[in-house]
Amino acid sequence: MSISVFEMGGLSDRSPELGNKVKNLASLAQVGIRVPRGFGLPFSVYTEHTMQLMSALERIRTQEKDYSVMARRMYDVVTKSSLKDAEGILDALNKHIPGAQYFAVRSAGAPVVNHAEIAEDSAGISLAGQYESFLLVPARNVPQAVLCCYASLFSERCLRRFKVAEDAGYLWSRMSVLIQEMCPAELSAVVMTRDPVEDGDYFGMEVTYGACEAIVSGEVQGDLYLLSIAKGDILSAEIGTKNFRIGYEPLTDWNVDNKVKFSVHEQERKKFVASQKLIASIYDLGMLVEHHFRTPQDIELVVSRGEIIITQSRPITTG
Amino acid sequence: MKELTGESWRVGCHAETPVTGRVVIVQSEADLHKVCKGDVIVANQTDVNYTPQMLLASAVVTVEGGRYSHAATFSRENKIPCIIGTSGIMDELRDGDIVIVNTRSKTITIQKT
Repeated sequence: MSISVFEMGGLSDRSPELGNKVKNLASLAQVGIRVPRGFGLPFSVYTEHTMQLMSALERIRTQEKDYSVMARRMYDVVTKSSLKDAEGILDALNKHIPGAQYFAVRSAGAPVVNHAEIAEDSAGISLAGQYESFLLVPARNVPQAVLCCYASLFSERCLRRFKVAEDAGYLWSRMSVLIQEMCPAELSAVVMTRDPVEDGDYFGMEVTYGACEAIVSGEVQGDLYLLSIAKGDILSAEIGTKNFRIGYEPLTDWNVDNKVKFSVHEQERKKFVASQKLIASIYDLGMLVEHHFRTPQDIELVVSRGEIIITQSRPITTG
Repeated sequence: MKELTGESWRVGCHAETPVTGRVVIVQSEADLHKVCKGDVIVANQTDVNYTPQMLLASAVVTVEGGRYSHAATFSRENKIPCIIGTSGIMDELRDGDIVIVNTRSKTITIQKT
């Protein structure tokens, strides 16, 4: 069985069928910037799947006043449904990401609030972290991970935030899903091509050992660099605490967090993670990405087997 | 009056002028109900589950994290003064302390305990 997917290097970045998270990476892939191999499941796959669940979801929405119960029931409806495209997804893994053993499955949600769709990873307010992503997923579990991504549109947090008890239109929200090869991270960085905190023009980056989640979640403080925009000179560099690095166990149990924390030796904490050469390479790449999108970017990247790979790029949110 | 600062302290979002508020220590999500409008949230770190209370806060202070962490990003998007990476702060502050958070000098001044 074949499903409609959008491969990274082969789609229009203006495709209306994908969330911005997928489109932005695809756009970079098209100009030869290294992103993980992967493909996007379009909104239509989500819509077709949830159409059959709509009456059950609407019944729960009108019956339940308690958001925690509403969320639990909706989660069950979605995750216990049968994804008819499961076989097609497994075929697509083999076709588009041959040889990969583990995958990242990431949500790109487009919630409908007050009859208007909000785009994730746009320049307005961030929806980052609202929806689930799953890392180091074995191939056989990817279809279930897709269902869990879909179900995360109905988490208690989202139902409360968007006051779904009062807004039936939320059930018409959509989601595209990004499926990528998992790139093991030796180092990772969050890059702001225009640092949004300090006055003046700086290129900022925070770098740490292991996966990027450590920086984004705030569980560790990475090494912080501010560079001049014009030439990439390092203007300031502060060592972060880097108490541990984050890695993952293969995801086989949906009830257990597969994130693993590895302690970082004190000697390693006290030195900068990245070489000056790597900092310069990240600066060059960041400026290239900013130039490509013609707007300052908030970039997540990993260094995997010595190669810099961009896992996410979006406009810097302005609030 | 006691002024606190540290080498690892970083700013997530600047405020033009120092802000004053009542400290609420948030060790986990179970403590979020304590947060009232104008409070200074002091937490190990934050995630998306903290956002409704962060919107009530006059400032956010976290023990862990860096300039591009969730706490910093959400604060910046919503113009909430924010200092992160304040290791040891939990030993210095208690619920109900009145503090002045100054992002420009990267200091927290305990005005009244």
